[in-house]
Amino acid sequence: MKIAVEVKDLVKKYKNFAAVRGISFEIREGEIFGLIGPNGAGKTTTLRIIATLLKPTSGNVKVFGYDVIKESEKVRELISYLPEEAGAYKDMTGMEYLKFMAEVYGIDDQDAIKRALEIADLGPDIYSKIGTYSKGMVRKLLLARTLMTRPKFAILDEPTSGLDVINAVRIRNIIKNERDLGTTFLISSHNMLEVAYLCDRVAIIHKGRIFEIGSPEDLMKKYDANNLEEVFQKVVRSFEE
Amino acid sequence: MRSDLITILKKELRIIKRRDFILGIMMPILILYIIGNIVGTGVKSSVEEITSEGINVIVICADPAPENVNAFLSVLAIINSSQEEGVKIYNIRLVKSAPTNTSIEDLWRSLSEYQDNITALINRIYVIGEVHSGNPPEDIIRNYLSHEADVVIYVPENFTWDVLLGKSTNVYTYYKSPEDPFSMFGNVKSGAINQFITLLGKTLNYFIIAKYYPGFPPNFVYNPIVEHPYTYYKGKIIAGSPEELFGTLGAGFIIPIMMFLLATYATTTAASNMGEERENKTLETLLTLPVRRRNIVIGKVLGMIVVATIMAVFYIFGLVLYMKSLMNSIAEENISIIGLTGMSDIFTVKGALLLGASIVFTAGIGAMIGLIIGSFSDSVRTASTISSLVVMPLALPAFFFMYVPIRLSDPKLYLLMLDPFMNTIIIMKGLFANNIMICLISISYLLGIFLALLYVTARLFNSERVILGGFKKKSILKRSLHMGSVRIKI
Repeated sequence: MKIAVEVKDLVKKYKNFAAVRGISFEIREGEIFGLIGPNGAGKTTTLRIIATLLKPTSGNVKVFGYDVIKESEKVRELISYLPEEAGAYKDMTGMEYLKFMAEVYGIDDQDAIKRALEIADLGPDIYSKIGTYSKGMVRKLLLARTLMTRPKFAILDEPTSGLDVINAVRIRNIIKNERDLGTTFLISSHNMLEVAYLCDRVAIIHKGRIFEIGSPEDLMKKYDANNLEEVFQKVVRSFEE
Repeated sequence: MRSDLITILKKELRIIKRRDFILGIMMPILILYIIGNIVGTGVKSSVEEITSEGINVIVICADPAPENVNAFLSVLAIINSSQEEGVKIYNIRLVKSAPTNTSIEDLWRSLSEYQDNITALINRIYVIGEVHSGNPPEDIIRNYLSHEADVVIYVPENFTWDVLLGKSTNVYTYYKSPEDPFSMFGNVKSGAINQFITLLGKTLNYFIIAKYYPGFPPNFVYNPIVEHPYTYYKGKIIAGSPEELFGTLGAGFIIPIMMFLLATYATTTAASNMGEERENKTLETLLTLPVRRRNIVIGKVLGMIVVATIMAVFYIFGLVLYMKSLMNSIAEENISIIGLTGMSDIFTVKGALLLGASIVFTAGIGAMIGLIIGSFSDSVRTASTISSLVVMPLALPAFFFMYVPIRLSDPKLYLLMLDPFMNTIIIMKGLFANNIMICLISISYLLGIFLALLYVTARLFNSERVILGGFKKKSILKRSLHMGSVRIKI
């Protein structure tokens, strides 16, 4: 299987504090890869480096063969990034926002907008100003924006945060469906159940280091655990000891 | 032009459609127009009130000279009789009526006789009520003012005597305080009485001229010269005073204000725009879109140039509207607010190009300063506050131009040229004086600053600083707790 993303010896320091301490992993094309870890583990920093927002202190990251530093513009053409605490332009309607994004990506086919409307599932509210939306509605709109372009590589930081159970399940199914259609995913989440359900492989990250990489099933077997939460606890405990 | 640049520009220009933007530019115009009308109408109605109702003037004449020789009463009678019918400015009531048919000759004849008999008359005191020679009778004056009188004029006993001796003489005026001391127009009546006293003096002078220069037209003494103004302008002699030709406000007033507004709006709007991107958490998404960072900067800068120019033009329009509504309410005829004579030389093709470029560069420089400040600010409020603090010292020298005449040869001009926001004014001065060299120096300097700032801003947008913000001195742990609207999660 082809490698979509290659992260090698990635280090990110802020002044004297190392947020990421030499992590390496690969994401295969067409898989959903999960990055799980507690707050402050270095998940968002890693995602931001891959999304070309931050520059690594050392190490390198390649997305479909393009270097995130030297060829950042090329990388941005391939990725679609959903930050955890993202917002949208409040003075636009949902529809205007989707059309603006389609224009930015140079998409003029109606199918992309249709797909986005399906994912957003906002009904007539799509014509209301985003400023009037609830947190969950904004999240659905942003997910629609991220996936409407059928990106080669989607980076989702806590994709279902702020969504109710029904919508969260629906979105998970959409992500799986998009994976089947060819999009590669990197997901960061606190929700271990979500990760276990969604991800083909996961990396457990703690204090800027990766301790385990593997499929949820393999990891559960290896640590004799019933779920990923247990795996996570055991990995962290062994690290602390 | 790349399509992604146009898309970003379109996004930035959406601000023009926003209700707060439209209200933001329409409200001041409306308010200025209303204030102009209120002030103008207030003055007009106060004057009209005086004209229609008149001012009640009580004259207490303590001058012992008899009516037919009394200098004050005689001139008063002439003023009274000369008031146009239906237009009563002064309702003058005398305790004793003055002779209304006194001719100048009669008056002077009488005065001469009076002068001859002055020693005989000197002990006669003309008394109204309890008037005594010496100090004005304040009890009586107070009584009149507490009733119908707006003004009481006290004519002292030596009035006619002083006139005869050729000495300046006195009158004492007692005004009722305005009904509404908080009104701007409460003192209009005292202004009218001042004019009345001047009129008295002038009428008295008529008598004197008629006596000593019989047959000589008194009007000549008062208006010996009538001015017909012409203005020499660039080799041409044009009829009219410079004020008529170049306007009451003039380029020296309008342009500095316009540049001040342009600079401050461009800077603060751009800073707020970046603050908004942060506060609404749209910045991260924007920076990962397949749009060149340079085009994001250029799109934002172009958007801010358009927005700031619209705002500045609308505010100037509001100011002109204010001046027009104010002046048109006071004066019957139209008054030239902005004379176009000077402008016609500036708005040539060459002039328009230079001026247009300098406005674009100035607004662009302001926008980029705003973007840089906004990139380091954690919220709209912080961005607006810091950008106002930065832009004010740079934009305020525009007012220096308004009040201090600076010649193009003055070295101070080059000092002001260092401030990028002043260069449009310098270019206008250069165009007006046909000094193209100074215009080229100025526009080159502006272009240099514009490009340098564009480079710095594009570099900033290409760096992670734009995401991390500008809290360099705080530790990353402190930043991770709360760094404005962008949380640093590690």
